[in-house]
Amino acid sequence: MESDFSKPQRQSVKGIAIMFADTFQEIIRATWAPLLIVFYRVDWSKMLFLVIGLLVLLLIISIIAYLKYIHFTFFLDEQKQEFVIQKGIITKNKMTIQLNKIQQVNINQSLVQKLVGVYSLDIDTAGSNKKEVSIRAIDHRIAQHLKEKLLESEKKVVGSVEVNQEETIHQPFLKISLPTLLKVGLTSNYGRSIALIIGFIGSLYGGFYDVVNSFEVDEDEVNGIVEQGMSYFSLSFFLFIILTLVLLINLVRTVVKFFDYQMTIQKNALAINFGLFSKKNTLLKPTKVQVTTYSQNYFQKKLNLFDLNLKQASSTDDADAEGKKNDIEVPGCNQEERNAILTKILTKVPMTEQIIQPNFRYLIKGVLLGVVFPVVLVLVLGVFVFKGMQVYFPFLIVYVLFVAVLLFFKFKNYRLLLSRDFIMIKSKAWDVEHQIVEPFKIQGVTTKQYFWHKKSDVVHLTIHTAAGDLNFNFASYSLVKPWVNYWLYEVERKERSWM
Amino acid sequence: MEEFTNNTVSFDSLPKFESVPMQPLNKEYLNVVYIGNTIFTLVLSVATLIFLTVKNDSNDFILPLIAGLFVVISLIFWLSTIGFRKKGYALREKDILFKKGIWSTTLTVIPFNRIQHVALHEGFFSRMYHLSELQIYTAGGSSSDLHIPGLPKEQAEQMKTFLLKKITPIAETPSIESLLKVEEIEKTVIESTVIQEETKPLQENDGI
Repeated sequence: MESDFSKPQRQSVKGIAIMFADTFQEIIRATWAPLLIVFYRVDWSKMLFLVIGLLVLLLIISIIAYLKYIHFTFFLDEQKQEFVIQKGIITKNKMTIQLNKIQQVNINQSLVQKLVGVYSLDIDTAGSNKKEVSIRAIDHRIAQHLKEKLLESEKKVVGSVEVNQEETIHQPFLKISLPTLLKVGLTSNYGRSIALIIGFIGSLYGGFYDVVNSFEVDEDEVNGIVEQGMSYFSLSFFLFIILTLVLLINLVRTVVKFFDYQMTIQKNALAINFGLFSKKNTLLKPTKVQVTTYSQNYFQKKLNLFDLNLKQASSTDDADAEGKKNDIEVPGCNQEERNAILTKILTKVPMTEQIIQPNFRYLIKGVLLGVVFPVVLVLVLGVFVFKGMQVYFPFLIVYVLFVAVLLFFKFKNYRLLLSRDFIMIKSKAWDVEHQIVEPFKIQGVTTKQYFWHKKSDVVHLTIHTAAGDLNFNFASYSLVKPWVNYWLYEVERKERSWM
Repeated sequence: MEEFTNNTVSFDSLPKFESVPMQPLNKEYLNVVYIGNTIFTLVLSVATLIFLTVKNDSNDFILPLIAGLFVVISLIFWLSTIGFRKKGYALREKDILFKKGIWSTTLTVIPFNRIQHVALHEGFFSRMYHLSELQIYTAGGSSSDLHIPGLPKEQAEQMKTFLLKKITPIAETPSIESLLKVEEIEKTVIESTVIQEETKPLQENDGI
């Protein structure tokens, strides 16, 4: 069943429906505010006009959708090793992608696409360009075939050794079962869910006051009731509800997002499939991974679970920024599976030759910012400005203890683990994280030294990678220097492609 | 087969990035900095003046306000002078170094084979002194991009040519800028400058 991609071809005919849905969505998104006003103000006796208007609108959308479908073609130029997409009704748009610049090819399916029975094929070209190329409606078989074709250029480079690899395609390399996902949901991402709940409660609370104000209820009375209620409301019960909510949100989120997670080896790449409602299908070339991170908290340690995150080149500066679309997450795997994935990506499991600890000044900064400053602020405010705050002063002790424990573990876990082939930064108090980068993937190195740190030989180190910066602060300069020189030597001595 | 490596690399024998002598920026650039400061000073003074005339009853703070203004202005001039002196760059055989910072010394090293693209920028006042800023972009995001100001225009052009010569042989390395062909035009423009200036030898390299 060979599909010929060398001639320009259209999407699946069902694509008209997708185009229709897309256009409809676009129009609604652009005009929802005026539409709402129209509906609100409408004179229902003139219903007929409204219906006719709507029908005309739908007709126009259908025509646009059809034209969009007709004018969207794609083909593969095998000679020039290019993939060409042409689209646009009035303004013609021709996009050419060189095959060797393709970073990822994803086959996804949204809810609408699931209804119609088509998939979208997204081509990701490394980093900065927002112009991501997407074919919105394509049959699964053709999509798979095209994907293989698009990523074929890579195979040619490797040589003919792996011709018969295709037989092994469907044997999963890693499979995450539902029980594991449940475990992951119960043990990870507390921070994110708590933030979500706080945001939710905040908006609820705000909404409540809006209601009170708009109904002109006697404010003092209501406030009195609320405050009383709050103080009678058992704190432990409240905490219990929050905790349950956090766990529930985590569970649902994890299961929905990562349902039926599978990683298979496909030629030179890792194919990853997951998702309950919308299926995600990603193909990742191990050489394109810039920063590999694995993390584990106390509970996960007991359950032998790791969370893996693979970062590819992107335009965002911050390596820690969450939810980047280029990141690939492996939500739960045991140590063996982790090692297998690490070996696949980094060719071996990183070892450590030298451990560099941060200077104790790291703690001073933490204590100043996390303890002294907020405590003094609260005390000063409580004593001089808001006298009512004094009741809550005992909570300060709890806070200080909490921060102290956090700081202790943060310091204990903050390490720079170095070897000839790997740079590893271990950090964080709870979700203990190891960020791994290979020296030849470094884009540049920055050292920063405050003048008051000169005598104590303290330096802040920043390693620039194509997937963002990695920092290690308060390191010993004399220990780090030879390593920086070594990394530069590694980068400069040979032309090894970093992606 | 990859290249064969078996020899232990002694860390001591590697070239040391921390002890590379830095080239200062051109002295004329300090004038450019001062011009900027002067403009800022003028704006600040005018703002203060307007504030004083609008608020008639503010006679009491005239003196402290003017004293404060004076302190701020002298601080700006003092700090920018220090900042100018702290800036420096160095070209090695295989990488470029740039140092800056008043409170802290920030030293960034960018290997030539990681440079994506090089550009020259001339500010309005810099042009009066025939100075340029050399801008070096990497795939590492804005934090690893180098902007070296205060270079004599001639020299900046030569450095740019030198760097472009270093990075063009590895055109295969995907430069993020040229991913889609639409942007390739820009690249050809840069390359054509290379050809144009190829004959000029580079002087900095001998100085180090």
